[in-house]
Amino acid sequence: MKEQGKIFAGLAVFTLAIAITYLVWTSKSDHGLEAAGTTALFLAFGLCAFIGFYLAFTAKRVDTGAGDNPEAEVSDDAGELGFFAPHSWQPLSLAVGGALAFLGVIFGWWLLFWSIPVLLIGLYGWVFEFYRGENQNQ
Amino acid sequence: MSVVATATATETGHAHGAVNRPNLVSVGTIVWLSSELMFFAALFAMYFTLRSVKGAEFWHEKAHALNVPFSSVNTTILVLSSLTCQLGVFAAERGDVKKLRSWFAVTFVMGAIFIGGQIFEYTDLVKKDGLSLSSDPYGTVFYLTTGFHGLHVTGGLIAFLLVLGRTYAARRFTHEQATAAIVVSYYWHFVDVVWIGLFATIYLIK
Repeated sequence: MKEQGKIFAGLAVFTLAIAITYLVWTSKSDHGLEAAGTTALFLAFGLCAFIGFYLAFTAKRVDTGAGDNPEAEVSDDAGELGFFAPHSWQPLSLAVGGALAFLGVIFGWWLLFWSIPVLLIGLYGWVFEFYRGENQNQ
Repeated sequence: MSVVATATATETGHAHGAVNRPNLVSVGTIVWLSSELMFFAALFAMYFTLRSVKGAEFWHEKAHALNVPFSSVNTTILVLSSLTCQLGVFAAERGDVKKLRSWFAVTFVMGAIFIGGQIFEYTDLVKKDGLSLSSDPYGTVFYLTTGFHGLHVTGGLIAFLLVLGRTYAARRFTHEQATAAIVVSYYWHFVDVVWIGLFATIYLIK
């Protein structure tokens, strides 16, 4: 975690330098300050700093992974990563609902009347898949 | 006595303890939120670009219609809801599901008041000031930026309901539900911070 945090911190420093350069450079040009690029660059700095800070903070709090130990073996990183659904149809129904809902934005709002229920059923099924019914493990 | 050495009895050769992994759900949520930051970056960029193209005078004239005192109260409610959300997370970390439920319910109500206030504000702007999504560039950026933020808050409200629903559906309060509560709070704080940025830009700096 520490190393990944450092990578993102480095990117944050780089994007900040670029953002400040861009800000100063464009504000001295004939057209004046270029707002879109400046905003994007400063918030790209935010993106890197956000992830970097979180990784460094987490590394400090939950000890380190094998990646931070020069003596570690690849096998040290083995183990449980988390809970993953073995197989599930729920993301598909959620995605179909979402796709239909966004088609409603293009073809007409009436489509939302039919797609929102599909979306809600998909969302409910996805969130509660392991909380209800035969697959319950919570 | 077994003649075959079992895997558990084999010395691995080094003495590191098991690695302590951060929660993957939390890490994933943070990475996703940082990409959400770039989504709002596009909205901010749109706002600043149109402001520089249309000029400060046009902007001030249009921004004059905003009801700043009303919106300030609304903002305060949203900021305070972050506090109640965090109190819910502290309860979840202690495993106190009852406190978690009540704090999240309070947060939900405060978020709902914020959305209600925003709808009230929109109605006023459309009816009294004729400011709409298609009336002029200012209306377009105003409704797109605050509207997309409002949609995010609404998504957060749905997430609170789902977390609450999970605590009722589960047989007992587990680590997984605490994780869900924590990542929803990350999202809520993020949406709150984005609103502070939007509020400062649109209502205060203009």
